[in-house]
Amino acid sequence: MAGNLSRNNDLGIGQSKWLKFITWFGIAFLLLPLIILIVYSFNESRTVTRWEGFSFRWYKALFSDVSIWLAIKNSLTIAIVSTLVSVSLGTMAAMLIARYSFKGKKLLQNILYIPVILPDIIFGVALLSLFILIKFPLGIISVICAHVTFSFPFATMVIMGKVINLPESLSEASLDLGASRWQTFVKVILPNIAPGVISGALFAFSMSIDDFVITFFTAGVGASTLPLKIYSLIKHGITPSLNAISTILIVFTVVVLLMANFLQKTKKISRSFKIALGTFFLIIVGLLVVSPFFTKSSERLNIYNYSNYLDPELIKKFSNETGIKVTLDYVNDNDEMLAKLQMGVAGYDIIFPTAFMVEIMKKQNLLAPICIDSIPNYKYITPGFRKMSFDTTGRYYVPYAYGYTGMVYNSNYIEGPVDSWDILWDERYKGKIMMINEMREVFFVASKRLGFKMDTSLSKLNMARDILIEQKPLLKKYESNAIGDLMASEEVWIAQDWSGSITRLTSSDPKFKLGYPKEGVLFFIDNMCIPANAPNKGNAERFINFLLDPAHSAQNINCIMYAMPNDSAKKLIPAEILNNPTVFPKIKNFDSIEIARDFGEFNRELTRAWMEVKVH
Amino acid sequence: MLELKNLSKFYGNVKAVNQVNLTISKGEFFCLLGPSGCGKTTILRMVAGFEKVTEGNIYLEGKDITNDAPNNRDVNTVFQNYALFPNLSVWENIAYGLKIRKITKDECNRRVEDVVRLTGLSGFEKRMPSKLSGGQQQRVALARALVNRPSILLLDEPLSALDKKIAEQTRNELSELQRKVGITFIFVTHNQTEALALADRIAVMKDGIIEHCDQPKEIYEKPRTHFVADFIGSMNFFECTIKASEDKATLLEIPEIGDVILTGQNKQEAGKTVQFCVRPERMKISMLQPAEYENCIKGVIRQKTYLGEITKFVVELAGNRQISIMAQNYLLKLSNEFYDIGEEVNIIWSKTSGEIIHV
Amino acid sequence: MAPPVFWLLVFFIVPLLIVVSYSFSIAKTDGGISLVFTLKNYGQALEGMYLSVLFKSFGYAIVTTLLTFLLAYPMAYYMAFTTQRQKMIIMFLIILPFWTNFLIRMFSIMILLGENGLINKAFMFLGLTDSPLRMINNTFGMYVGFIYWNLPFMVLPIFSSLDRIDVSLLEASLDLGASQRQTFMKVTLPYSIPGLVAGIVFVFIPTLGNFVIPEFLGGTQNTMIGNLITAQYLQAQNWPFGSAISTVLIVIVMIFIVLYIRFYDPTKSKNTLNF
Ligand SMILES: Nc1ncnc2c1ncn2[C@@H]1O[C@H](COP(=O)(O)OP(=O)(O)O)[C@@H](O)[C@H]1O
Ligand SMILES: [Mg+2]
Repeated sequence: MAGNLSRNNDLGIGQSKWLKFITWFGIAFLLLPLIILIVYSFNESRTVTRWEGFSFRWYKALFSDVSIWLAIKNSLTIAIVSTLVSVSLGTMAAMLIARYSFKGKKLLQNILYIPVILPDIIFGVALLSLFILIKFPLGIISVICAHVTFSFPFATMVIMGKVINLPESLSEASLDLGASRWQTFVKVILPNIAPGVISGALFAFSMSIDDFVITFFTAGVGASTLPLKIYSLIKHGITPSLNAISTILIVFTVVVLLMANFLQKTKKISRSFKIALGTFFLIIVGLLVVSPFFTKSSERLNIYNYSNYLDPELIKKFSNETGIKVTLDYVNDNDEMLAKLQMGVAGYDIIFPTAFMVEIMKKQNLLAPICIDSIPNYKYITPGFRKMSFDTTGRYYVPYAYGYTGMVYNSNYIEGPVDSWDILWDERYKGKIMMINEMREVFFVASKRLGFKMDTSLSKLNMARDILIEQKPLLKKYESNAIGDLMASEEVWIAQDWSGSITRLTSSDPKFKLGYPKEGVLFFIDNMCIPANAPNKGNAERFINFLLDPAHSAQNINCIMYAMPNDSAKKLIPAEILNNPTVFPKIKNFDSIEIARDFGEFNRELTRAWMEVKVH
Repeated sequence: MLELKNLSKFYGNVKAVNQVNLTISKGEFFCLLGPSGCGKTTILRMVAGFEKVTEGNIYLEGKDITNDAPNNRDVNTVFQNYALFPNLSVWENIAYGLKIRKITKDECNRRVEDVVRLTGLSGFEKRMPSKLSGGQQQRVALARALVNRPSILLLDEPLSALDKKIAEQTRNELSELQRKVGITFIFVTHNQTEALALADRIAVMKDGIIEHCDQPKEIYEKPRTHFVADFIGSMNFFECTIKASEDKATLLEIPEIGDVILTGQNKQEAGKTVQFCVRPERMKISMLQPAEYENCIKGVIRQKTYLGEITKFVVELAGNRQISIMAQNYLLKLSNEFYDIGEEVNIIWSKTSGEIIHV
Repeated sequence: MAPPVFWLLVFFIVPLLIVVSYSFSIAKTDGGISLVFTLKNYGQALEGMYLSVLFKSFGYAIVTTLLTFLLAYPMAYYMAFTTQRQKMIIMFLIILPFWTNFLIRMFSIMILLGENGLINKAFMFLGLTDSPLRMINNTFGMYVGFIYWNLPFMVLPIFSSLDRIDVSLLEASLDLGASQRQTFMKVTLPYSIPGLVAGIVFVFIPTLGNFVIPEFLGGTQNTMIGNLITAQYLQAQNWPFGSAISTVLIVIVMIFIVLYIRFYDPTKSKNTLNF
């Protein structure tokens, strides 16, 4: 950085107290969140908001979380490959622009500017459209292509700065002395533009490592990068390990920056030392990337599930027993699941769609039939659940869990009993109300409040939409995943919530109470299905069988607090859970309850109305 | 009138300017001369107000301006790199100060036109600074400062960025200009020729200290310190002791070489070790014996360089000491004297030439 | 055809053309697309509700740019004229969060501003407020997130153009009688305009297209173009409509790119994002 003050700034230009204050305020603003993260990463407590003593707990948890290491490995692989490609393309483009004149050079130069400031989201959807159109499988390769596309123009600009400053006579001299063009490039040009190439590479690398949005659109299963993982952890409120990752990343960054600075400053350090350091660094990265830790087992199973909807201990147990590597990706809602499958994202072996979604997916041939014969534990399924109305063949689903959507509230702030959906429109609780981020759930509540049964009537739908729009200012947000956290931290006082999640809250603290609306609740049955393009269908069936084992089912129910249609498992469940109507709703006739259904063509209207609510 | 009283500026341990006392009278063309890094710019910047004074005071017309902001001082600067505003045209650059002072439009136009004519910039008013040559840029910088009619104009090496011919031409114009406008000029340079040519008075600086401040002739003829003697022009030095001295005549003993006499000096303290110095052009090489009024020592010619106007000889004296001697070529030709390397010669100079410097 | 040109064509130009052509097509129920020429998507995009999202996004991006500028300019100004040592330190501290994952930074702001977050605790401890203030999941939280995210992108280009000002120009101005304030207005400010333009572009455009910050830190009413596009692609499965909105965004960006190239040529600048 060239200093422009050759002398002391005795005039105090730009050095007033106010400017100084604002500057350090700005810096504090930039740094405070990072410091908070680091501090809380050593917090014993699960919640980020309370300090309960020093602990390395979350670091340990982090190191045993395979999916995070997998994400890091993916991130590094993608970053390294895309950096190499970007720098090569960038060097070529820079040479092309700086050294040759050709038709359309100005155009090329201007086109190169566009990716530099084009919003990521446009990149994301455009590349997604391309990959889907040409049926290019979404995965590591597609992400690498995407990253190269946005980082190589940056690299070009950085490298061009050097190429332009290189006197033409240099290469002329080399050619004059008998070197070929290629030799000239390698021996004369490259060493001289090396600093530019290196900063271009650093640029490309850091952009790739940091990218979320474009990866979000172009990554398939098995290409989950660290930012994607982080996004998912944030969305699902899994915070302490997030703090730990962040701390590691921050410390890593600081060390690298300081080291780079140090190396730049100390000219004394010999070349060989720098090379040794670089090699050391590369070896570490290399080891991470090809770590045998991940390649040991070729048998895999990719689960795509909601958060808190499967006992993690069971996954571990399954892995240990079978040697199958299990990865768990979190899905936000049924629509997202559908979108992924429709895009042809391949890789998931088990998904957990709700009844109506099974119907939709089946219609669109997105599901594979399940081979019931290879699931001996299927026999434990309560017969009434085997061939239900949404798939009368019973071949495409295995029922997983059921429950309903009610309300949970904090009795310290809200006087009970809560027995009507109306309370979700109560002005007194403005900003403290939360609704589930799923259109069928939300429209059901609105319909019930209006006294309708939810059906395919457009006018009813629009009325429901209108009261939802009216409700929006009262809401903290629409949230499906971190309801428990937000209730626990008292940022929300009353939330629409699923019965299992309600039970977990009410049993954790008596201040949380169930609100069961008299207008009626929406029941759901979630199912285990295998996508048509699942790569490990056999393992999926093994896992389903494993889960249906009564002991495992019972353990799972105890953990997630949802009922499962497994009669033998019920015998293994503590009585207070079994008799808790929130966990096991007293349903006499399963045909009389209201469950969300596929509306066929009307789905589109529902989606439109939901978008209108969201957008308003 | 500008007065600097015990003016000092320290950067940590570096005493950039150390206890400087100067009085510069109105209308004077004053030169600060010294090698690079001696603190000239620092003095100028303190006068302009860009730099805080560590110690001492600055008085302008009797008023203490030591802590005044630069914009409140009746002083303008011509910067070494000219510092023209690149986004403003020549005219706008020159009018900048007047506009700030909210001078009426007519008055402003008139003054700018005057100064444009004075500096010979007519016809360039609409040009942008980047489209001007170095010499023209220098004039704009000058005009921009002059137009404000400051009581003092500070010029920091204004000619150093110009090539030799243009610098010389501009130098002459500058001198003329100063006489015309009558503004006090403080001119910083490391170039002694410029200083000698331009200044009414010169202050020779070294390491933040003023070594000698006087008229150019005095500085050249009677340098007060070794540094000044050495820095201005070239000089031959002899370590010697004063053998005897009376009013108007001093006998000096130069070890291994012999005794020399210097007349026209005050009485010196006998026995003291001093430096005796003579300018190379005051000495001549000769085969003849010295006259009564001349000193003479012996030496062998070691180098001879023809420089067109003059020839420069390096002569080795006893004890391996070398001095240089300049001879006008036309005089050599006139007297038909030609000397070659290796010849043993007499070196002769008038007893009135030379200076004693106390160490 | 040289590889970089080829790459740009295949992975950049063609995808953009696909998006544009989809924007004139119709969505099928199963998420597919039937390629017929229609302007229906644009009609829908200009309907009151969606149009208001567009305007709202614009408003948010403008306010964000303005607020970021107000914080960033003094910082850049202070930094450009401070001692070399402090300059390096400040630079390092500003770049530091820059190298920490964006999502992590947003997450940390969520923690910081939450009702049980440090800020609220401090406010309550100091007696500034009795009950926790709501600082996330509303417009305020969204702006904090945007400013946090954008601050380095605004500070660094402005700094780099201020840092290049020859101080003797400022001294010349003072010397000619201008006060510090006049000097700032007449010399410093005009010289920082290239950096300012770059900063505005670097802040405005990404803000306009962002969907994560409104989602994490904004409230239910803070829907932006980015959220709309994401929802159309990933939830509503209405790619043609999503493409139409994207195309609108592309056009806006193009306008800015012209501005950007006019005022600020990145190849000519010392790179501000360098180590
Ligand atoms: N900002 C500064 N910090 C430390 N030393 C300085 C600074 N500015 C100037 N100096 C020192 O002060 C001395 C005088 O500098 P200057 O006035 O520029 O000399 P001149 O103009 O005669 O060449 C030099 O030794 C220089 O190194
Ligand atoms: Mg100087």
